[in-house]
This record gives sequence, C-alpha cells and structure tokens, in this order.
Amino acid sequence: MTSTPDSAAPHPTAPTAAAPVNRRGRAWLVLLLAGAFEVGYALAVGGSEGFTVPSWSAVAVVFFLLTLFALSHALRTIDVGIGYAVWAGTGAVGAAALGPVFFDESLTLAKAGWLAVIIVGLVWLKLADRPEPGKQPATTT
Amino acid sequence: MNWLFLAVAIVFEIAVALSASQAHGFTRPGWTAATLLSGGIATYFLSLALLTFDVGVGYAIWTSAAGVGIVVLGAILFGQSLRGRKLLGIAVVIVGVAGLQLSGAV
Repeated sequence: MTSTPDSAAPHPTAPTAAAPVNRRGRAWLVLLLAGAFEVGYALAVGGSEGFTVPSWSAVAVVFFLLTLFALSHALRTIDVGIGYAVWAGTGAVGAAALGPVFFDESLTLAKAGWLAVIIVGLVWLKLADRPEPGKQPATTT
Repeated sequence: MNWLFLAVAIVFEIAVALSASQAHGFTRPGWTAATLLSGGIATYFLSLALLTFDVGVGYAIWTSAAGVGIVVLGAILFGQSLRGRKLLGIAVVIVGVAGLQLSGAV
C-alpha cells in the first residue's frame, strides 16, 4: 500500500506521466475512505454521550486518527480544495443520513432541506478556498 | 448551553486546521501535537453539544462554521483573498444554519 518508490518525492503541481494516474486513483479511494471514517467519527462522538460510554468513545478515538491519517495521505496527491470539499461533504451527508439509523433521531423534510443548504455552502466554500487555476503563485507586489 | 459547547468545539476545530497546515504532513512534532490536542478538545466539546443536537445537525453546523472560520482567519492572518465566491459560500452556510434554527428543527 505504501511501497510506491516516488512517495517521498515532492508532489508535482500537475499529473505528468502514466504512473500518476494509478496513484491518483488510489488517492481518491483513500479520500473516500477518509470520508467514511469521518462519518464513523461523527456517529461515534454522538454515541459516546459526552465520552461517558466507553465503547463508542474508543471507536470515536480510532475513527478520529483514521480520518486524519487517510485525509492527509490523500491530500498529498489530490488538490487540497477539492479533497477537503469531498471529505467534508461526505462526512456531513453521511452523518445526517445515518444519525436516524443509529440513534433516536428523525430527519424531517425541513431538517434535511436546511442541512442540504448548509452542506452545499460548506462544499462551495472548500472549493472556493484554493488558488485559482492558471495563476502563478503571487509574488510580492 | 448546547450552543456554547458547539461554539467551543468550533474554535478548536479551527485550531486543528491551522495547526495541521503548519504540521507539514505531520513531520513537525510540535504542530502535530497541537493538531491532536486541539482535535481532542474539539471532539470532546462536540460530544457535549451532541447530547442535545441531533448528530447530523450538530456535526453539519460544527464543520461548516469551522470552515467559515478557517476562510475568515486565512484572510486575516495570511492575507488570503476574501471575495465573491468565498463570501457567497459563507452566506449560504449562514442562511442554512439560520433556516435550520428558524424552522424549529434544532
């Protein structure tokens, strides 16, 4: 999994040859995993009831470390703005959808609608929070 | 009280993002420790907030408010731009949180 010889090399600003294609595919898989870990983290933190339930609390700590590790790994290859947007969107949608499955909660139409607005805003914000493509890094002005 | 817990969790989640960006892939021990410590505190206060908020609701407000804070602080601390598209995203998040509360869903 981590045996790629070029993994220590400074990552290129743009995908170049054939090898990075495979690498990018793997990075996207790791990013989706990070999103799934984030959903697990949110559910476990909720289930921990203020960290008074040992089992959920332990699961929360594990998912916290997993999501941090997977996200930072994926962002070595994937653009930070896009990566954060996908990760944050996945986590928020997953937590909203699965909360009622695991806990005594309901997802009404109004709640789901306003949550969708928040999540769209969040994803938009993450996508906007990156350098504009084609522009050189700003020099001193 | 639950909003206060959520606010504290948001502040520390912003600290997570700032320290993680300085940790350079977790190669700097000090910033890595700061990231983990902030993350632990943020997680604890999030769990307190989620005692009353639904998981999906509390989590969405937490992570999106932190996202807004990160962009605003990026503009203040690092001179990053805060224009059109970012302001639109911030506005949409605020509208969503306000709508959620006004609809009585929180």
